[in-house]
Amino acid sequence: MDSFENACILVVDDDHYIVNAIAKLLEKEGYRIFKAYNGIEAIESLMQNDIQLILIDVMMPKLDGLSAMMKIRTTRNIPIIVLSAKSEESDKILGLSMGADDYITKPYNPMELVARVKSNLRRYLSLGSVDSTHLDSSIKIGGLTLDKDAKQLYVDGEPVKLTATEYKITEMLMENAGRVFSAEEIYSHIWNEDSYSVENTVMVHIRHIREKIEINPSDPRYLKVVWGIGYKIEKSGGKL
Amino acid sequence: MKILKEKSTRIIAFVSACIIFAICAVSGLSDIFSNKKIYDKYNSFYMRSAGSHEEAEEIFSKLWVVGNMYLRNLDENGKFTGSDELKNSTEKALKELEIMDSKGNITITKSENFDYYVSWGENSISTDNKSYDEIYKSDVFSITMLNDTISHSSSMGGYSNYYDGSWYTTDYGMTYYDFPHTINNIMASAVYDYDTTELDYYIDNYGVKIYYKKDGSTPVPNPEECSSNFGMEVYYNEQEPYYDRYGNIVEVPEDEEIEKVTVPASLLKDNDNSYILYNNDENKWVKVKENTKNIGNEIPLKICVSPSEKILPIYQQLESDMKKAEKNITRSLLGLIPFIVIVVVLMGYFVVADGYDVKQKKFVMNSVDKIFAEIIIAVIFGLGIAFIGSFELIYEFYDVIEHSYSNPQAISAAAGSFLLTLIFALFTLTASSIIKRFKCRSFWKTTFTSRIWKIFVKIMKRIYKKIKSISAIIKDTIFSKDMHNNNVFAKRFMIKHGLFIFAILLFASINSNFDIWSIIFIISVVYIFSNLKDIKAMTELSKQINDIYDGDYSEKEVHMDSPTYTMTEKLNNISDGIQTAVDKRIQSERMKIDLVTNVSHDLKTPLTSIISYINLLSMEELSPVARDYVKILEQKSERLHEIVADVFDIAKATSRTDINFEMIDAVILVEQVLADMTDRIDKSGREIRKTISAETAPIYADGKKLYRVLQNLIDNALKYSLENTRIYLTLKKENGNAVITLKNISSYEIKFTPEEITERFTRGDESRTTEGNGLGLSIAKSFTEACGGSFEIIIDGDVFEADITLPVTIKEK
Repeated sequence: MDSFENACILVVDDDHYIVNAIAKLLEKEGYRIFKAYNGIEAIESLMQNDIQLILIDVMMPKLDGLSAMMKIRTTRNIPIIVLSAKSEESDKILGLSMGADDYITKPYNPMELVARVKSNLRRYLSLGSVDSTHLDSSIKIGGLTLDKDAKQLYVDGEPVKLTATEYKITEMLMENAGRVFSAEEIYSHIWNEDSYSVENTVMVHIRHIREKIEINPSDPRYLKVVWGIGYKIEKSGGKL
Repeated sequence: MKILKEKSTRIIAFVSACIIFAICAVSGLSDIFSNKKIYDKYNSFYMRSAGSHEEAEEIFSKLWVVGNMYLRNLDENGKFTGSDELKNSTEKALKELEIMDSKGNITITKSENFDYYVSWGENSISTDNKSYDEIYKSDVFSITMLNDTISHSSSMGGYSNYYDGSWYTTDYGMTYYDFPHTINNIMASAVYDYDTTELDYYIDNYGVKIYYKKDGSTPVPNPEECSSNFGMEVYYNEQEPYYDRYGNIVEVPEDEEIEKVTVPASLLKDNDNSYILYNNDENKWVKVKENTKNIGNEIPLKICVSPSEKILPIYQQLESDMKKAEKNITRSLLGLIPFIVIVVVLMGYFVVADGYDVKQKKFVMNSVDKIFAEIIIAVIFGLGIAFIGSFELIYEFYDVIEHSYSNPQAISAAAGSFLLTLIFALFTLTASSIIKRFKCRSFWKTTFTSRIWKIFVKIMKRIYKKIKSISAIIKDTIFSKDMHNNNVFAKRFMIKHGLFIFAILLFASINSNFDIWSIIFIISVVYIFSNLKDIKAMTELSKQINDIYDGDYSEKEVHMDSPTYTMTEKLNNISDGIQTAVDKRIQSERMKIDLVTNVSHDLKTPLTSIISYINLLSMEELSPVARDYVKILEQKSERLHEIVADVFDIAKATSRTDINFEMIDAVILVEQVLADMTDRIDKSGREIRKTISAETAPIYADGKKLYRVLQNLIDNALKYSLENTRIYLTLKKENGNAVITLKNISSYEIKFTPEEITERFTRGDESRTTEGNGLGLSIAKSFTEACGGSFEIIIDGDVFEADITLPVTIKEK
């Protein structure tokens, strides 16, 4: 991951202090930062500099973040992370569907922000070649890549160590991405036996898998609990 | 062409047509009148009943009598073939008719005005023994009888009719003759082939003496009845058949015991040609057979009467005059044809163009055209009849004035022409009016029938509407399911009127008087329907109250006449007031939510900076004290973040904007939450005892929200429960609800009420020293309610209990 330390990141927000804070935070990680304070400045800066990632606020004067993002998306394929005070699900869906790769709500957790930036950069800069070699026997969902031959899971290109049970659960959920499995289903499939009150057992494993593959386990991107029904891995991957 | 459309052109055409018609009428009529005398004379000659021609008719009749009564009974040598009695009787009859003189010679006429011929077979009698052809004059005048046919001929044509031979012979020796024309005022006569001297007789309705024998072999009449009048009375009783006046047996109506009929004695026959007579002496009915002799299909009787040389010139003169007159009139009428054509053309144009309005460029109707078409059509027919009838009137008028004025023809023609022209003009105008209606396509509209039809339709519609509204009332009040449940009025109405109808029926079973009945029926119907109206009004009123109760504050409209009008108006005012209040409350609630949303949103931006810089600060080189301070700042800013997020969540839940309903299982949910929180539970040192008494509890709710509810409740329980006590979590199905209960023993004295604790920012420990923002239970309550459930806190001493009640949904499929 150190190879991306000199990547250039464009931070866009109308609040100068927030821009500065993010800039400081990311500079500490070794990234080069460009600043912009509205959508128009962002587009201009993007044209003048070699930018690898954009962090953009939604509510800004002159040109708002979503409109700017749509304009950028017509020419550029770089990762865009939306950073917004709007935390409702509908806002997140709107942002992601308009071309954002990730969505972080304000106030953000600095550690999480850094992690997400890194994750997105890694995926953008290095994963393209890795994935193509594993086309036949691998499943790719967002930043997750499951190599079934090697029984290995990659998160944003980084190999993750999973126990046999965790791997089986992950494989099952990834193969049927989008489908919701109840605890009983997972249990009988993995352990090959029926049991009562398996919620706890399954949940423990789910939590462990989450801790390994999610940046923020309490706000998971991939492995989700569907409350009152079961568990699933999102089909679209990374989008909510 | 344009000029043809003008109204003035039409009027000119009409007037000129009338004038031409009048001139034609004058000309035609004066021609007719100038020849009228000849016509009259001619007609009188040739009318059978006309006076001057009577003589010819009587001669004919006499010839008929001679042929039938006399010549018929002669043999080839002119000898009488019948019995002496018949011969005597015949001679007597002929003498009576003055056809035979005392010497026994036949004398037909003495006037010598007419020549005659009669023959029966070979035997004939004629003027100067002339033959039939010598007598017969087809071009002037003749009355002939040949092959059973009597003909009247003249040069102007004639007429003939089949003669069915009005004589018959009975088997008791009477032959009865009914003459074609009276002879010396005698219409008929009878002859007998037996001696009639000293026999009784009666006179039939033709004035003929009918003799009868007392032994019953001849018809015996009731002397009293027959002699006095033309007929006799026939009495019927059950033993005898009933005969009508022509002797046919007829069925007798059973209720008529005795039928009295007066019949002419000579015609009283039954259907096998027998005479039915009542014998007074024997007091019974006698049947006497009539045997009509077969006289063949053609009677060999040949008769001819024609004017003799003496009066022939008169006839010839008449004929030639008549022909001349006929020619005159024909010529003058033919001369009128061109004028009549002009009249027809002009009137045709008038009728076609009538009613056209140049300005409006279409046909228009005037006031006359709006008179009912039926009346106009009746007038047209009346005028048609009047037109024909007026000729008669004109002739009569001529007859009246013929002798009082010097020039009656001109006066009559003028008057007649005026009358005919008037009728013609009126006829044209009325016919044109009818045609105009067709041109305007409004014939039907102008008819009285259409008016009646319209009224009929209107009435039917009104009746239909009434019936519909009544049935609607009945449906609304009596058969409406809703009303059965809610409307006491309707129920009471049904019971009361049911009893009422029952009472009426009871009364009906006792009293069957129709008059009283119909009055009671009408009164009852009016009574019930008037009550029905009231009940409908009451029903609507109670429906309005129901609606208001259900939250429908819309204004109801009721007719001014309705008994509930003022009440409805008042209710409208009340519901309007409620509506306003509710609207205001909703508005203020929304404003509150908006405020919270905006505030919490606006808090996030500075909070972001605070958290960011605290983080940056913590990375700097700091003294240990400063580092502690930064740590505190970090913790508190994080809590501030949580509070803002919670407030925001509550606001959203209250406004129900962010709820994603789906089918979930409460059992799985509880299990998942407990599994999810295992670490925290273990850390707290408390034990959670769960009792789930249902395998599944499907509910339709937002899983994420309910997760927050349970998480908050468990967190609360872990935080505030007494150490080393157990927390009880139960899930059970109750009355179609899934009830999740969380019970714990509080670690401190509970001083708040359940209401207070669910208020926002209220905390169990008033010192607010422990972590928590006081929003936990508030979130739990608002989220549960947003999911369609109810949330309740029960406090019993130190036992704190939270109940979540969610309606169980029956799963589809």
